[in-house]
Amino acid sequence: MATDNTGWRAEGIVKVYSGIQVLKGVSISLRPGEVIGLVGHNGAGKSTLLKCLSGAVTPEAGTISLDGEALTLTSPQDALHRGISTVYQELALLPNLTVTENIFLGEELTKGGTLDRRGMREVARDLTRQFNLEVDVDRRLGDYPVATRQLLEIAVATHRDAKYLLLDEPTTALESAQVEQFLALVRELSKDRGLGILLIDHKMSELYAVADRIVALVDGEVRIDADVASVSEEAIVEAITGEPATTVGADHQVTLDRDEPTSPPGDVVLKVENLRNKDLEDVSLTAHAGRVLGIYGLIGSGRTEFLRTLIGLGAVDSGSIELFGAPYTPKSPADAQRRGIAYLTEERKIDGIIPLRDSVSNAVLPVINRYSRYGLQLQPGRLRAAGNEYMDTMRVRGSRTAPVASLSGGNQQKVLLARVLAQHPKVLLLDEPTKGVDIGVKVEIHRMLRALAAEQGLTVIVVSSEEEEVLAVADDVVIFSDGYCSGETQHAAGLTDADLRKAAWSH
Amino acid sequence: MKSRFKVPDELGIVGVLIIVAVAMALMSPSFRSGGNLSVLLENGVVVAFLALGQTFVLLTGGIDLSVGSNIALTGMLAALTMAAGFPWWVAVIVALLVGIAVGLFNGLIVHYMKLPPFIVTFATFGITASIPKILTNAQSVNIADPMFAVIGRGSLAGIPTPVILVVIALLIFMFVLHRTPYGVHLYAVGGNKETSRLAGINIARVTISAYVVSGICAAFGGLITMSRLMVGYPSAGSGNEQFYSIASSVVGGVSLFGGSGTILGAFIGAILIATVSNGMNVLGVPSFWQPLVIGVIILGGVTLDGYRRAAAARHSGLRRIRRNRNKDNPPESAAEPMPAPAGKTPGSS
Ligand SMILES: Nc1ncnc2c1ncn2[C@@H]1O[C@H](COP(=O)(O)OP(=O)(O)OP(=O)(O)O)[C@@H](O)[C@H]1O
Ligand SMILES: [Mg+2]
Repeated sequence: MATDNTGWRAEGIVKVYSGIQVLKGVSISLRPGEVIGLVGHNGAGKSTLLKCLSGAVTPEAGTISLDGEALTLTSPQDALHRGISTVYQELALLPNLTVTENIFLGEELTKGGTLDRRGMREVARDLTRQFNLEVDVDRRLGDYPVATRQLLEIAVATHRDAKYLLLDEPTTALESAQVEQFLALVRELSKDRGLGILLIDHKMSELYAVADRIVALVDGEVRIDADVASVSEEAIVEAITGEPATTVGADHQVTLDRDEPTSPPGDVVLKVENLRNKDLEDVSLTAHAGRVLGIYGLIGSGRTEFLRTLIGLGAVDSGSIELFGAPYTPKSPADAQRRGIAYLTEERKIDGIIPLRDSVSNAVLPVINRYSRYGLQLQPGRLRAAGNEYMDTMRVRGSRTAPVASLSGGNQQKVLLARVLAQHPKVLLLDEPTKGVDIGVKVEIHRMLRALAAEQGLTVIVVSSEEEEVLAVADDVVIFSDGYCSGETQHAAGLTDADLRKAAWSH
Repeated sequence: MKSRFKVPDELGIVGVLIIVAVAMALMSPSFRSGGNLSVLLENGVVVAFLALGQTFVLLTGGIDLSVGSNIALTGMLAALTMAAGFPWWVAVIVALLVGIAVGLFNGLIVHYMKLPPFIVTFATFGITASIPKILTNAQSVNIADPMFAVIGRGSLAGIPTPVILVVIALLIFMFVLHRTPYGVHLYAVGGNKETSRLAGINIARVTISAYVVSGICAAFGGLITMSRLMVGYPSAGSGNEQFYSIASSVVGGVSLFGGSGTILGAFIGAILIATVSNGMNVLGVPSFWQPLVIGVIILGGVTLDGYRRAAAARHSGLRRIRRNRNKDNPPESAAEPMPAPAGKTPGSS
């Protein structure tokens, strides 16, 4: 390997953010036709490494070379021109432009100096068809759901005639069928077209399905760099979490290992009957105190809209809702909160975090009045103490005083979960609660949610696209499909991934 | 998928314009006269020019508070150039160069010093408003070269020259924004700078050029203003021009947050404002009423636009995806391709 220097090679990469070494001399190489799975805990420096390789940030030290030739990348353009195409962790397409304009952004086709709109439209149509994306390429991208945007972003990256693809958690918003499709694409691109692909992903099953080599990053250092065949899932999990794999478990093992007794259903807390609005055709369901209710459904099936309707973000056209035995008409998020409902959004960047405020303020935002004298004078000490306590529970890594946007993606998600806890809610509505969270903490969160229900008698409703997650966290499961939910619950204990998938498609 | 008929974004503002024009015409016969139309357009031209440039800056997510005072700076320097004995065309070049320089100054500071455009251009407003007064001790300068008058007073086939100029500018800008990569980049930068940077767009060039376009438009404003009076006066552009340039763009549907709106909308917005002030002049309403009425119209226009957008979003219903559900073929393995959704348009209910 040492004599052959084809491919993309980074050596001794050091990156410092506010005095802290985020990458401590990382070396990694990527050859044509190879898929590297890059794993690591939240804040390990995966995204930062990827940004160094794509020219988006400049490392303090280290060398990057392509086929033996040393390079200095000063901008993302540099990398693009060398055939390196990147999908960043945060959705990076522009909602105000059309699908076509997004696909060609920065690489527009022209005819005699002017835009070749017709040509671009045709390519865009082909490309979206190839990815089974049913979109009108002349529409603004913002009109489409997150999953569509994420798939489109992958499509865009592959379309750019790249030799290397860098992908940062590209599957977080996708549903299982789309994930399969994505993995098949990765295989095709690497094996048939000879692309070198670096894939950051927290899901072991996905990595093992496509990666040739696994690199595990821990606290800015490479802990494992080995062929996929020679390293076990347990070893990786152990390296990342610092705990033996048996207590943590890889994602799919959690289901099998679940042995906590499920408590008998308590009182009915939330009862929804025949709820209808522009996004929901007919939704009925019942949630009990002391239980975790999992909502499974495909993207666009109305799950997200259902949660949002419950907190007053969608109109109720007909149907009835009962909360704690009394009729409930959702008015506003503030009202829902007063009644003990806490909500976690699916899109943290859009209506979750306040990017430029520190994580303490972000965590205690809804209950900031609690930490003030007579509701007027803030008591910063108490506020900080409380915020830190909730964030410790969620194991947030990174600065608590810096803008929350400077935390790694998974840690931002944990701050939002801390915000849910801070509300001392009686009912939790969580939309994709572990989006971007690393394996260790994910299991921890599942455990915590189960404990909140079982021990404190809370009602927890979890929406998730991951079958494993639904099965791991929920006592009961309902299926959403095409805006319908019959209210028929099944016990999670007896279900498999395939059962859920089948139910969602054939309901 | 067929692309269906799209309602143009400018429809709302055109509607308001028609309502206002019809109302004025009903109230005043002299408003209807052909001569008045030409007066209306001539008076609206300067604001329209400024609004065109302002739109470029607004699209990038910035704002240019220096366009009004830039009228004085560019116009006065043109007047002083002619007073020094140079011919009219040298004066025109000087004005345009000064406009470009002011735009460059704004753009470079906004981009490289990463300062808020509001503050930077507010400072430039102070500077550009003072320089002409300092140069002439706040005196006006007479312009002698008769050729210079053509810019503001001339006409071609009965159409005033400034109107021709602004329409040419509009057409060029529409072409640039809708038919060139640069246009897409301008919207992209206004939508999200970081994303645009990562997509390989040269944001420095896009941002700075927007301020330069605004500076050039202000220079045309300066030339037209001075040429109409054949006097360079240092307090030119200190009236409502600045405020109206922003208002035109905003009523025309250009977002103050950047990344959305059209240049045609801004232009129609400028005509709307010109129509209102002209109509009120013709009706003999005291001029101090004008800002009040225009303020109300702006609020009305923007509110209407908000409703229109909300309604459009409601009808699109794209966030729901309908699927061709196939009981026998749930996607379970990678070997089976994802069933292609039916060719139905979502949200057709
Ligand atoms: N722009 C920035 N300013 C300051 N600190 C930053 C910045 N970007 C990243 N960091 C810090 O660098 C560290 C590594 O972050 P990075 O985003 O690379 O983690 P990650 O491994 O991608 O995590 P995740 O799995 O959560 O996405 C974190 O502690 C983060 O707070
Ligand atoms: Mg990351």
